[in-house]
Amino acid sequence: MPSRRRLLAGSGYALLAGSVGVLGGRSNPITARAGNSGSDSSAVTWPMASYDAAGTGYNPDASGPKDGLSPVWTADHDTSVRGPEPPLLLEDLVISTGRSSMVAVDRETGDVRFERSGSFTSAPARAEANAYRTDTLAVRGVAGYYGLNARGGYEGFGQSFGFERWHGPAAEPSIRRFSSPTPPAPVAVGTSIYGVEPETNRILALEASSGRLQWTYELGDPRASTPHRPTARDGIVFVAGWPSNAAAIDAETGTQRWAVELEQRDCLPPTATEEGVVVPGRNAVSLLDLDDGSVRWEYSHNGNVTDGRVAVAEGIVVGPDGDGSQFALDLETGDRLWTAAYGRQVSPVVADGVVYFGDIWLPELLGLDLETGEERFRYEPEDSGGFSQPSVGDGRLYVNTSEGIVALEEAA
Amino acid sequence: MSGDERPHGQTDRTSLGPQPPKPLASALARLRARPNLVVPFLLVGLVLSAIDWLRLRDPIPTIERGVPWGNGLSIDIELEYVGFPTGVPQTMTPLESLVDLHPEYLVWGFGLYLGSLVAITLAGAVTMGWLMDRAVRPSALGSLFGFVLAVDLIQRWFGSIDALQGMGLYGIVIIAFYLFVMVRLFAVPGLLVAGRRLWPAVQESDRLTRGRGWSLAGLIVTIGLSAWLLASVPVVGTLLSTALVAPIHAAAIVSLLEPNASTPPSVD
Repeated sequence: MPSRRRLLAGSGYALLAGSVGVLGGRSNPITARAGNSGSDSSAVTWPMASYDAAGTGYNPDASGPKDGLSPVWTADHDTSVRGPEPPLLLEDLVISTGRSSMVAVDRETGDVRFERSGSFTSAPARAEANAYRTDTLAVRGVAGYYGLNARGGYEGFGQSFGFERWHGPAAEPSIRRFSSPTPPAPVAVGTSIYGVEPETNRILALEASSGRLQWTYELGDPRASTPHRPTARDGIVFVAGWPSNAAAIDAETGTQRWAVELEQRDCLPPTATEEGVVVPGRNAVSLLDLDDGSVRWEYSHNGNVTDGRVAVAEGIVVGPDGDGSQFALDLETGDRLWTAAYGRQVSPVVADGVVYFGDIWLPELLGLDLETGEERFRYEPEDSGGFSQPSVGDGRLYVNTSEGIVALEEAA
Repeated sequence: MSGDERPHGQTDRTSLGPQPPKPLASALARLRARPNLVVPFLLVGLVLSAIDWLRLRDPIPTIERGVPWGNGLSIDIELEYVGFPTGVPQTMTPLESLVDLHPEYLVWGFGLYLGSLVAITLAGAVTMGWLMDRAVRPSALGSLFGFVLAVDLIQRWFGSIDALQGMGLYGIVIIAFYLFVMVRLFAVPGLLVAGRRLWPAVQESDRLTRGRGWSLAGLIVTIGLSAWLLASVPVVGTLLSTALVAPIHAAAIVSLLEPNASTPPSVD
């Protein structure tokens, strides 16, 4: 029987070893994380709005319908998911933010896997959480961001447990707001989450496991500036905001790399590319240099764009011109490649050579050829109230509608 | 007529016996006489402070106690009273955040949670045992830990009910009921240390606190506000609230249990 002294000493050593291990962090969290039973880790994912942290709206590994659409299933869930924000594709789940809850349905069948109530106001973004066996979904709330269990936690006796992991940067407010999710959604890069603090001009960086605040950055005048969804690429966070501010921030430290005030008016959400940062505005599109924010080219369409964003795929920039058309530009030079008649100011997405457009106020989904702008298909179902930005994967489109989450495949 | 007889209709107040001392005054007197009584909770204050430090650096979500005057426009006053002698830590891990943690983090997070409750239980048992001049049996320790754990879980559950948060003036009814329950359970920790089982302890605490509701409610409010105020001190708030308020609470419980010991034991 060990003596009391040895027992205390052993406990002390164990506590010290545990402290070093836990505070030192987990190495190689991706391979160390056990796969979720029944999940398909090889399925194409769409982990956040506009697909990636750079905001390109393009998944080079995804392929969707090309010449027509046919419904596969419509999920039957309680909450309304109607809104411009897309659903997430995460392994075997399709996840959407609704007016009063977060809902996840089976990707193959559309069966509801979980529905968790909460005051969530944006599309979610999937982030890696080192301390957890499951990913964290970051979603904007009334006064900050929630970190949620991507597998929904557990439910019993009508109560859920283990779904909400954290709220940051401040404590969860007692007020609730039930509304359709709207931009700006957060973005996630590895274990970091970047987003706009609600009702402010501040960009936040939060740690995905703990929700701890890593840094904040103020864009422009706090009385007037409204930042859009940030983008991230190669360790830099790029932000642009109304009216005409743009900046580059070190993703790890929050230190400003550069900040500029653009001549073009009313900036819209930027997209980070290997050539530069594409910043659309009310009547022009600019490409800013990654290193100093100087304008490399500017395309003036002289339209009146007040909503939406561009998609960038295979060296082509596609977006609305605010004058009844969509344009396509060469990413390197800014030269116009084509225009197509479609006046909705939405956020297109691209997969396998097709550009997809959806609008919550228009009961149609449009597919254009990325290279030529020619119409590939126009899907106009009866009794439809409109479509969100699509997510693309495994030959299907997934959209939020007034009827619920809908999966669409190539028409026969 | 003997010296003890009075005319009919008159009562002799001396025949009622001495009034029980007020728990707070008695508690302070006991602590003045035996200052070493604060040592157990002083050590627990250091332990809770260390746990706060660790929680703010590990990857498990932690709720940090806000600064009461953080927004500069108003002060959030809270009653930091939970039903057993303890301090006020600066951090709390929501149990919901422990779900789906990797095993090593789960052990760590749950260990810190249980470890803090074990430390609080030990300090409370030792302090009240010293005050009662009795050895604390392991079974009594287990009963007290069970009570501490149950109260903590119930408090967390109430805190998770949205309808009970931010009720404004309607919350006064809830607060009044909470105070009523806390008054009736005031002596339970001490009775558990003395060897009672839980249900008999609850019954006896109910009996002991009858007729003293308002004074005990005032004592609870005093303990709660003092703990809140001391916990609001930056950096050392946990240590101060634990080392200064918890021993007084423990001594007040024992004073209620042993009202005839109107003078504190003499210093050895």
